[in-house]
Amino acid sequence: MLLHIVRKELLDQLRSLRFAIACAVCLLVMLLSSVVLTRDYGEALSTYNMNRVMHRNELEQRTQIWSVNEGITVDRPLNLMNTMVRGLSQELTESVKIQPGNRLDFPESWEGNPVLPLFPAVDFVFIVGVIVSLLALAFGYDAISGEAESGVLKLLLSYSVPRDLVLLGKWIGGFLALIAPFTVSFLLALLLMLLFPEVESDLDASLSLLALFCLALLYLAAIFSLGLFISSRTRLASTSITVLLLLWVAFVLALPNMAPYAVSQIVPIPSQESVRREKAAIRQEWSERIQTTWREEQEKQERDDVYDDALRQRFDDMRLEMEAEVQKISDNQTAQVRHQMRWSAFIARISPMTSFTLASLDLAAAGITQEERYVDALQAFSEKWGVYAEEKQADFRRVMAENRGRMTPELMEQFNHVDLSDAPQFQFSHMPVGDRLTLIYPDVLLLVLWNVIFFMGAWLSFVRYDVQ
Amino acid sequence: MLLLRIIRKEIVHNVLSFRFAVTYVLLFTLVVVSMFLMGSQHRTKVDEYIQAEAQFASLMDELAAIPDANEQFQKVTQADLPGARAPRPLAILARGLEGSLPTQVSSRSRFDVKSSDARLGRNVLFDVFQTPDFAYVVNIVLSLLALLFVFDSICGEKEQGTLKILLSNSIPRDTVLLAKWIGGYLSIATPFLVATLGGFVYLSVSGALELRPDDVVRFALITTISLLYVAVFFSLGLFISTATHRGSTALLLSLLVWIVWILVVPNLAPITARLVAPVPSRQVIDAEQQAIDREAQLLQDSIRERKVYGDQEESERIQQDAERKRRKLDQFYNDRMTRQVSFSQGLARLSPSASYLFAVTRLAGTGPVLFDRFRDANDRFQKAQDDWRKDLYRSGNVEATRTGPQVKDKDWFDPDSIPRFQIYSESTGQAIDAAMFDILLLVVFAVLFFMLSFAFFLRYDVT
Repeated sequence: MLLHIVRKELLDQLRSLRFAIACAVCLLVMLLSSVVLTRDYGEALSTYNMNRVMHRNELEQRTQIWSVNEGITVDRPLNLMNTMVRGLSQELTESVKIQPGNRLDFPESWEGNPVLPLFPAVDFVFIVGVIVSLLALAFGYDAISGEAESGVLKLLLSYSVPRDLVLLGKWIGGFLALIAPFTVSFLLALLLMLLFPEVESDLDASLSLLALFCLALLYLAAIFSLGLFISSRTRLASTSITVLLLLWVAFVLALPNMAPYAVSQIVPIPSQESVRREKAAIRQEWSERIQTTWREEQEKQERDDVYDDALRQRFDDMRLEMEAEVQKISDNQTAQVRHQMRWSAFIARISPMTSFTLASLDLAAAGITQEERYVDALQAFSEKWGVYAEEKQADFRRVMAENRGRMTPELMEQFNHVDLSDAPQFQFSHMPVGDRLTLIYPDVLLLVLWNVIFFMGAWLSFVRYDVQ
Repeated sequence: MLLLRIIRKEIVHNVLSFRFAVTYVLLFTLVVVSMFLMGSQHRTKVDEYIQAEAQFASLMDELAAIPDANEQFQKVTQADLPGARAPRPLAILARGLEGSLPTQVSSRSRFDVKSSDARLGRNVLFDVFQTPDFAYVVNIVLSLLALLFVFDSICGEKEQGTLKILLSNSIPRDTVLLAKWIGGYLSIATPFLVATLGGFVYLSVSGALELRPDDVVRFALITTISLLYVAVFFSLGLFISTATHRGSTALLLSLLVWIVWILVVPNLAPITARLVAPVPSRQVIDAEQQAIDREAQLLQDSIRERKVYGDQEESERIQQDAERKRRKLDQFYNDRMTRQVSFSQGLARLSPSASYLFAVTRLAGTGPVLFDRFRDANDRFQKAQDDWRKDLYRSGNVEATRTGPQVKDKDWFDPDSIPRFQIYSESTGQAIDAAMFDILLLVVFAVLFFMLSFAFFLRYDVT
């Protein structure tokens, strides 16, 4: 019996205008998006390769010993998943200047095309989250109320078929009709993507893509169930669609966007300016202490050239103390920001769209966790570079200490041809798939919950539905 | 008059509908909440700006209080005298690019960099979803609501059978259509205006928006353009309604058009333009300029080693040559970027959504032109700072000695002479002129769709 109902629903949908529109929209949007984003990825790949060569050459051209303290510019490895999920940044490539002492300089992005930041990218998350979810509503809004209006439901239920089977059949048939064009378009888009030579797929990317597709199905199922639920609570199809569109506007277009703003009013974070000021004050104090200590030493020893190993050790200790204090301020700020982010995400998760978006970002290794991992890796590299710089300059420092800070040109000559070809390389790999899946399971559970709630709501409403 | 009577019938019918009630509540909530949230954020940004200015003032006081003039000179020349950028008040309505530009510029380096604090020290969730400003609510939400309102205006009445009854009276069809347009439009424009006015009152009373006459005029203009934008979609919905015979068909077509025209076209345009008209990244340009400088340096070094008479001229020639190459490179980059930007805008303008956004952000002063003005202001600021520092030496007040610079006049330090960062914004008249193309495009769309609905309705089969 169930199969009959599913077949009937499926055939109904396949012959409808909405199915044709869904096919057209899914194909058009997914293929266009795939082409554009993959080509963009290709361009970014050549830029990345060029940048790496450029930075390597720049390093090899350095000759002076102290140039090792200037640090190195590293490039962020590209993420193939950015062809599907754009992520948090406008640009796919990024060059960061790393200096010892945890100094990271990220480039500002206002030199590029100013029209780009005004429009969100049409990536997989946007297509599924906004466009296909709207189509899901169009597929489900008149499943009950439309048939009630036209009188077909009355006929259907006059047979000895239990209501829950009818509802289940409607759900399965309708959902299959919705995801058929979506799946075909997705596969075609993937195929198109693989035609580009720059795209090199690996196991991680394939598994992530599969997981992303399943996540999309879960999200669409939730929206479709919502459509069915509202349909089973109204008597006219026009009322259903009105209510559904208004709910959709509120929960997909408005709530996730407004949540961070609302939360930032209640859970504020210190401004960049105040943090900068605090840190500058600490550095200023340290600088003055260095000067004072130097002067005291000079007075004590009654001469000017007092720079020796003992003094250097004292300065180093003071510097470590200062950096620990600065780090504490950073850590405090990070903690407060995390607090605000957690609350924003919590409030925003009232909308299933947020769960879908955040989980997709994490699956594509383009989300918040990835950002933190990346900055941590950069900071670790900065420390590594600091150690390398120290080693390289060990001889130089020794000679400087021997000559009490006074270096003649002849002495400097031996340090004017430093070889930096053995410098450490920045290695960064994206999160393994297992970690990504572990990261997203709360959002997945939430989406499952939405599915259950809406379907149960539809079931309870339909069982009592008056078909007269 | 007959027209007025039908208009009244339309308005009453709309106002009493369930759709109107729910739309009204949603619209009102969204507009007011949006203004509240963006207003509060603006206030936070203004506080930060005031803090930055206060910080600068206290730095000045600190430097002025240094007793030893030589030490003071050293500290002043080494200090970073940053410039702060004031947040644009109308970013409350259309945030545009306001959040993409730094709020502080350093006086010591032209290239602004972000530290890892700035990178991680903000709530990244703000970047995940689009800013829910007034422009977003109108652009995305109100356009959908307008379509939702009017999609079954003609075909729905036909389905119910009331249209044929209406037209069985001796009413010209154009009057009916006009009345439907006016009645329906008023039904949606009025709640929108009320909500906007409510938002405006809140912003003025809470102090988030200063009541400068210029800002009020721009606010009014932005509201007017928003009403025009609603008219475009209202006409579009009416046209779809006259082109179909069933409400469900009209609804699906409206959704299709909305998806493609609002969600797809304007969002794909800029990234497509980037592929069609690529520009080398700023880093590559900078690297090439550094290579030019290095080459010039090497040539000048080799000249210095020669120590032949007349080399001064050659050295200067090399310098000028390098300058010229750098300028050419800058020009090349700017030209290519301008080409890409105009291509992006042209392609995006296929959708009225982009036209609306460009017009509104222009009036709010937060559009693409803000990047240019910021860059100009930054260049001016850096140059003024350089000149100021050079003048300190050239003024004759300071003598360079072996122990360091010696200041002759103890009262040399004048905090007011320090160049400040200032972005010149265009006048309201200039902004209107610049936005006129987009405004006219919206008018054209509105008129086009109305004419199409007119043409289709005259032939509409009401049986």
